Amino acid sequence: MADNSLNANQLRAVKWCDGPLLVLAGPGSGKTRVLTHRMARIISESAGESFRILGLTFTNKAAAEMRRRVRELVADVDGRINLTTYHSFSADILRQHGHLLGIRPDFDILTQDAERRAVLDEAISSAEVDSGYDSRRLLPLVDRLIEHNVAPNEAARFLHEEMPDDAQPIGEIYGHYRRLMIEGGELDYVGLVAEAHRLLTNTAVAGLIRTIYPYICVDEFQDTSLAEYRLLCELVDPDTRNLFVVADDDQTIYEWNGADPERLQHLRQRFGMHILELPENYRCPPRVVEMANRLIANNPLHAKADSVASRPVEADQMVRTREFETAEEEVKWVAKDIAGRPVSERAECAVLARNRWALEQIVNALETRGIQGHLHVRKNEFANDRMVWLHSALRLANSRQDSEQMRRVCKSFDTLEGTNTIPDAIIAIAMMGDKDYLRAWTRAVLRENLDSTTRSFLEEGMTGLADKLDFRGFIRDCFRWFEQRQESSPAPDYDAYCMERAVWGGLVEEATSDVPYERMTLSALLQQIDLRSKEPPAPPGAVRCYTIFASKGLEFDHTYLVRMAEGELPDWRAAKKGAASREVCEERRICFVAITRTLKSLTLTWPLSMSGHRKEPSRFLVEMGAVQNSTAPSATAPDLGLSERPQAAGARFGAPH
Amino acid sequence: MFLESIDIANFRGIRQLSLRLEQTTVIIGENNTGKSTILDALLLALGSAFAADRRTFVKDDHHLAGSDVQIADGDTIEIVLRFVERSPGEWPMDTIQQIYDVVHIDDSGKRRVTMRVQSTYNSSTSESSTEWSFLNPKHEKLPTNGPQRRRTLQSLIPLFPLHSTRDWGQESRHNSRFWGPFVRSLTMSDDMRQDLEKELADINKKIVDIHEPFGAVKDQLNRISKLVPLSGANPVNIDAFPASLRDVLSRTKVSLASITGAKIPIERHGEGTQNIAIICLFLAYLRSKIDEQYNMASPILTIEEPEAHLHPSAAYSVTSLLDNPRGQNIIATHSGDLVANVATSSLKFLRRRKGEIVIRQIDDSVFEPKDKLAIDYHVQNTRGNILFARCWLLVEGETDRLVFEQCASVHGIDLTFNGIYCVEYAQMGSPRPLIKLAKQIGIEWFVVADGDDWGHKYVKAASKDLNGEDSRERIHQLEHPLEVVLCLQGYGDHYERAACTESQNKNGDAAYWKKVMSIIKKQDKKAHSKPYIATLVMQDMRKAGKDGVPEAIRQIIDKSIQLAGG
Repeated sequence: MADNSLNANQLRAVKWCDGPLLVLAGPGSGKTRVLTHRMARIISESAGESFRILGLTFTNKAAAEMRRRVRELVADVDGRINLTTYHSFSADILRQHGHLLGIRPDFDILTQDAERRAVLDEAISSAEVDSGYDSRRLLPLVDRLIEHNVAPNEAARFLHEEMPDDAQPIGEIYGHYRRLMIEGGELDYVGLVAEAHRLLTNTAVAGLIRTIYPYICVDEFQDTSLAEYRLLCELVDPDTRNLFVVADDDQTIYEWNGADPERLQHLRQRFGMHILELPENYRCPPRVVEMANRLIANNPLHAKADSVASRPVEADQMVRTREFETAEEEVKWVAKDIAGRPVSERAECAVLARNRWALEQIVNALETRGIQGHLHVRKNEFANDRMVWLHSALRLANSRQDSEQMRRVCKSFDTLEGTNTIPDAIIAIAMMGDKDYLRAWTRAVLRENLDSTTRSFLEEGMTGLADKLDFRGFIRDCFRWFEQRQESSPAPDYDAYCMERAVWGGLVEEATSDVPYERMTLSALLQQIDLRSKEPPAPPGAVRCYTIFASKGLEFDHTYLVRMAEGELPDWRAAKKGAASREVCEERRICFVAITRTLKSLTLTWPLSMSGHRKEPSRFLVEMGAVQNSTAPSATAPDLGLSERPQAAGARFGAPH
Repeated sequence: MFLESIDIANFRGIRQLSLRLEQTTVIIGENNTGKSTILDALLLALGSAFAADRRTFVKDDHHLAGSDVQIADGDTIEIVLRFVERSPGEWPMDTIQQIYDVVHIDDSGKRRVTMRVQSTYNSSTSESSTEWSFLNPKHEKLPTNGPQRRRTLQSLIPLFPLHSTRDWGQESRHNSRFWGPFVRSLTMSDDMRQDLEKELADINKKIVDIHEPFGAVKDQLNRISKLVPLSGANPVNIDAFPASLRDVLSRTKVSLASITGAKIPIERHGEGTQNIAIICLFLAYLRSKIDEQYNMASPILTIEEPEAHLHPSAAYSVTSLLDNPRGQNIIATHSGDLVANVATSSLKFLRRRKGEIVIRQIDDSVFEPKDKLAIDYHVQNTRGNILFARCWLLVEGETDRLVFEQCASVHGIDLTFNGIYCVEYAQMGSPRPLIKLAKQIGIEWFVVADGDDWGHKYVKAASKDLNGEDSRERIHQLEHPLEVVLCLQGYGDHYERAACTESQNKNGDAAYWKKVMSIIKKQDKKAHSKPYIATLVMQDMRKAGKDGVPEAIRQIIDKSIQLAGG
């Protein structure tokens, strides 16, 4: 292990043995290094033992990256470390122990709100309450109840103060919803963590898990939701409290998703965490570090010491600010500025914005200049009909009476092959016979006029899938069938399919890091795929565009942060709550996260009007010292570092260090 | 990790069977009732710690319902092993960590592991495909890498099978399973080894130098080097014994001194001694192996017929040799002597019922402590033989047993050959504990009671266990007490003599004979014990031949033969 590459604070964290430790780590402070080095150290110092370390991260991607980095440090880690997300971990223990709650190991994960609403509709009708409850309106409320893991018989009391009249019937509906989910062999995302938590309240299960995982490491704790936090509390052995948490309270940006800046306080109280700060910022140029410090100092909850710029000063570090009359000009300039960079640099550029809408405009503007832009969005489902068909056919094979998957199988296949299959009719026929929708669909579609390769694929592949559950053979044959069809009758969306197919390959690879593909059951594979985003990777060379939320944990050479205007960042809804509101504080942290993605250059831009409405520059620009004062623009501020670049109108400030 | 049970389906002679296992499990059953099949099922499911024993399922392992039946593709062999943590903390932490993804918790909070192996035979490809998986308590498959976790289990629960055929000549070779590891493990520093080998070389040289004929041979052989290129100045070496220490070790022999003191190699001792020697070697091997390789392990030992070729009293104590405190022993045996020395609860009885193999096991909880003692007494007293019976003829006491056994013999019937054992119940106060036991272990039963008040009580008690069966099929109350029955058959003079009655009334009625009996009862028992008089009666009956056997007794014997399936 290359311990000499760590600074003194990092080394202290890495050498931390037993007991609870909270590492407060600012942006670019090497928290992933600390986490991975500590895991590697524990594993290599306990060779011959069998305990495992549980590492909980925010995304599967982050988990995969950490796994890769630990593997570089120490050999044979696979049996010793479980790097995963709260949701994947929950799914794992539910598969193994869910029987105690009546949950089957092959449960499906509902990824679509439409599927969940269908269950909720059923719950509304079985609850025998006065009609008038709408599943669409009720779903967020149900989510909140699950998030708080309110027991069904407690729900009415939980809701009483908020809605005295509706508390009772909604409580009923909620109870039916959770029961129906389990009975139907289904769970939703929130339900995964909630049910896993319920499982861990069984002392035998908790004891077992604590025996298996005597060490727990948590990354990005600041964005832990309530349900996740409660799950974590049950995982930690109260005697040893071997909990190692890395967090940055200044980067709590998922409050809308249940994160809470005060959760860190709860954690410290509950486990008596020792605290270690990692103030060194090795990522951002000193000027950006200074701006970030000044910005976050405005948050009352901010208690950490200032970050210390630790990245050496380099020539190409700079901060630029640009003001534009209109949003259109802003977008055009950003596209032009990126186009002005050498091709190799473009892939190292990222455009960030508070909202997705601005990024779509940027992607369009880039495209008019012949530059590919790539907007990162989490995709719960595949979009290309071929992948939709494959995925839903597999899900239907796993759960033979899933009408939602039946519908998707029909729709996608009809689009691909021009058939006309009617889900309700096939379901009706299936219910008269073996109640197997997949077989009924196959019989129905084989009566249609089909292309010969399609027919032979269905005759072979579907039998293997339906009768022998040979899903590996089916997937292989299915990909071949797609290829053959493309050769015989080329379709324009084939490239999109190829991208998603590559995503599929990546997902399977990630999913099979523990259990080899040949040994994996269909249900486990589907669960793993459900838990992961189906977003294709950015094409090589493309300019990446992220919402600030999606940029969490990433870093870019050249960061463009656009729409730095009041009402955009901070968002108008937050701004309305008042300058000292927790909403504005969260917006400030969002801004903090955005600027601290920067490795070399940061470009801040804002328009003075949008769709004809006047816009003020964001208050955060002033707070961070990027502009002196919004009311007194200094149009003459020199832009030293970029003198060779085309100057946009209204350049205000630029201060490379 | 305690193996609580093994379920077997569609495997060779077994269609469906569930066996509960104990710390020591003793499987008994007639030949061809599947004792070896059960041990093999365990061997196939868990795998052997000996590489040579490892094999996979073959076509012949599939259960066939009849000789003309073909294997259907759907008939899957299924073997399910259930491991349980009997008390909290029994499983070491390291064990749990190794099997982290297959442990499950049952409703009572106990940790369990359930492993299933399924093998299907595909008749079109003539191939067996085998799948190992782990289950939750609802028998739903867990998404685990089955074969990998099975390997983990194999290291935690190594299975050491000792098959029925044992040959010291085989087992004592330097490359054999048990002896080999001892021979091969040379724990000595290189310096010491070199010193010893140098000494060996010196002795070798001395011997060869003294032994003159070698000199001539050597000279002859040295001429080879003139024809073929050989290395060095001394191309020919004659060693009296191996020059390397390892080779010396591989030639080590174990001898046992006979009574005369002569050292005789084990393979030249009798079969019984060889058998014991192999079992002991096996145990010595296990002890060293388990300590060094399977530190946390709870080994399972399966042994077929450990009593082979042993004297009964040696068979009786052979189980106490099999000391395996951390693990479990599973023994298949035909020896009543061996069975007599183990707890009855550890016995498993294999039976054939309607062409199928079924298992019967004893549920201790239904017996009162005194009944348990009484049962153990019977088992000990008969050296376990009653447990091998097909039918118990339950009689009141010693006299009855003697009379029934002898009557059968006079009648030309060998009860033992027919699987019938007479068991006395009166001293237990009731035939019921024995009936319960008979039912549990699948032995047929028939109760005989005297025609008196006590007999009436016994019949009443036994009737409670009929469960709707016709009492004539299971119970016979004699019209009179047995002795009276004999007297009425014309054997009364022995009793009259014992009672010292004045008159001799050979044709007295039942009332008369009852009076005679009551006189005998009042007398000093040592002079005229009932069993003694009965032996005198039986001598007469032998002379009288078949016709001398009372009709009622003949009927009872016929009935029990019928029940025993003879």
